[in-house]
Amino acid sequence: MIELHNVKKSYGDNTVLKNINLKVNDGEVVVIIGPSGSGKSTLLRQMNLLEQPTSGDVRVDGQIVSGKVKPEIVRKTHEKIGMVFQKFNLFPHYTVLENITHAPKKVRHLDKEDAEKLALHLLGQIGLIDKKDSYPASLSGGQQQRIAIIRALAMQPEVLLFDEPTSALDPEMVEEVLKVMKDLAKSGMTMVVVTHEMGFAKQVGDRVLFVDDGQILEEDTPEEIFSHAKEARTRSFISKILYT
Amino acid sequence: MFENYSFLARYWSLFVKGVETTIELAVISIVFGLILGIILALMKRAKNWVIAILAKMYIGFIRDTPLLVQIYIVYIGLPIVTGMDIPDFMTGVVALTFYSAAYIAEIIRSGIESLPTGQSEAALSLGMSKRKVMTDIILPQAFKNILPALGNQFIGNVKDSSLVSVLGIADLMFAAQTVRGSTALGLQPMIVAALLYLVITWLLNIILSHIERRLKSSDRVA
Ligand SMILES: Nc1ncnc2c1ncn2[C@@H]1O[C@H](COP(=O)(O)OP(=O)(O)OP(=O)(O)O)[C@@H](O)[C@H]1O
Ligand SMILES: [Mg+2]
Repeated sequence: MIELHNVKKSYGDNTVLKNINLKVNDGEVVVIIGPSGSGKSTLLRQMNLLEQPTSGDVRVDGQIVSGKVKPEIVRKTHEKIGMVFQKFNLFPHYTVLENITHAPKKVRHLDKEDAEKLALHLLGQIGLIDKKDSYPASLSGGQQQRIAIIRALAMQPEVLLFDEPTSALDPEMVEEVLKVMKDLAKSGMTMVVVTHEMGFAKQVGDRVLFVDDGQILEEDTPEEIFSHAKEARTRSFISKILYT
Repeated sequence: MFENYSFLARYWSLFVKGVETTIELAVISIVFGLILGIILALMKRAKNWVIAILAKMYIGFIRDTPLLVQIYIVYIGLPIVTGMDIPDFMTGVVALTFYSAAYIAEIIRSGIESLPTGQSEAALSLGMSKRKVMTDIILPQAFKNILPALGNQFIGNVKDSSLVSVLGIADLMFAAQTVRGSTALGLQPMIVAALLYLVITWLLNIILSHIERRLKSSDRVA
């Protein structure tokens, strides 16, 4: 599905990712954990080419999509790989329905009726049909994030990336968002999730990667990494997130 | 100062005509200035550095030279460049458009840059092309944020248009000068002109703040 080969990323002198090799398989749920500033977001943003690698390459379904490729290939990659952000990033000048239908109409060229049918179906699944004509600013963080998730889903992506989707939420709203994500994972969606929600990782994660200082220091199943991590740095990080 | 306004009885139609011309100049130049301003703002943000520098130089030139000089450059240069006889009104419109476009470009650029980058990233990640991201997501939001600044620019165009009277365009300023010449009155025609400029900008301010209020009351952003 997505492969990173020897990916390095620097901003000026600051090397943020050092030689990352990673393969995300179809139907897999990969969880990424690691300290602040270790490069988790940067790693995620390489996968859908919001950032280009400084060297190395990114492949999607076997095809190289990074580096000097046509802009259309980058755009197609964006279309295949959806993303959910920490700060939701709903479009404030569009209603909930327009937020969800805009890209399907403009990019997938669905007609208005089909796009709205799809949007209402997805809104039904998260129980927010009655908010279809509201503007994002009038919704709670949890509602906005759930809508951001189905906005990405409406493009029928092959993979969904999540960058700390619950860390900007009030505690009481975290569960409603995690529930949507767990349901998605169970439905077979391929997902890469940066999160420190251990319950989520344990319930639906296939693999957990511990990123430290721009490298994947360790990867294992959730059970192994949370209870018997091999690296001392992983263990010390996990004990920190357990007790905060 | 408060007497000798009887000239108005004879010359009022000149002032009315002048007000019309002033408003026409301001409206036409703000519309074209907005179009050229958007183009300049996008050029300045272009990845291609030649394009970016051209826009930067243009904006710098306009902002750092006097409008009166620019008016003469357009007045003399436009017929040479186009090889055509340009009506004075057109010259005035072109000069004011070139002038305000530089300021509008900077207003638009700040409007675009004040938006969180998450907006364009979210739109890109949905597979939208860069052009669609700009036209559908970025510009509409930026435009709403900069409406007050654009309104001020519009009022600026009304006032700055007085300078094109040097070309013999019969705007409000020109009306005042004409009356001054033919009545031997010094101050009074200018005071009438100043009051009329005040009325125009005052009305514009009312209209603009009304539009702003309406946008705010339907405000979709928290
Ligand atoms: N656009 C950028 N320009 C320059 N430096 C950047 C940029 N984006 C990220 N960095 C730097 O790269 C490093 C890794 O950032 P990144 O956001 O990937 O970390 P993270 O693991 O996601 O951290 P957090 O948990 O705080 O979100 C940081 O040192 C950051 O300052
Ligand atoms: Mg991050």
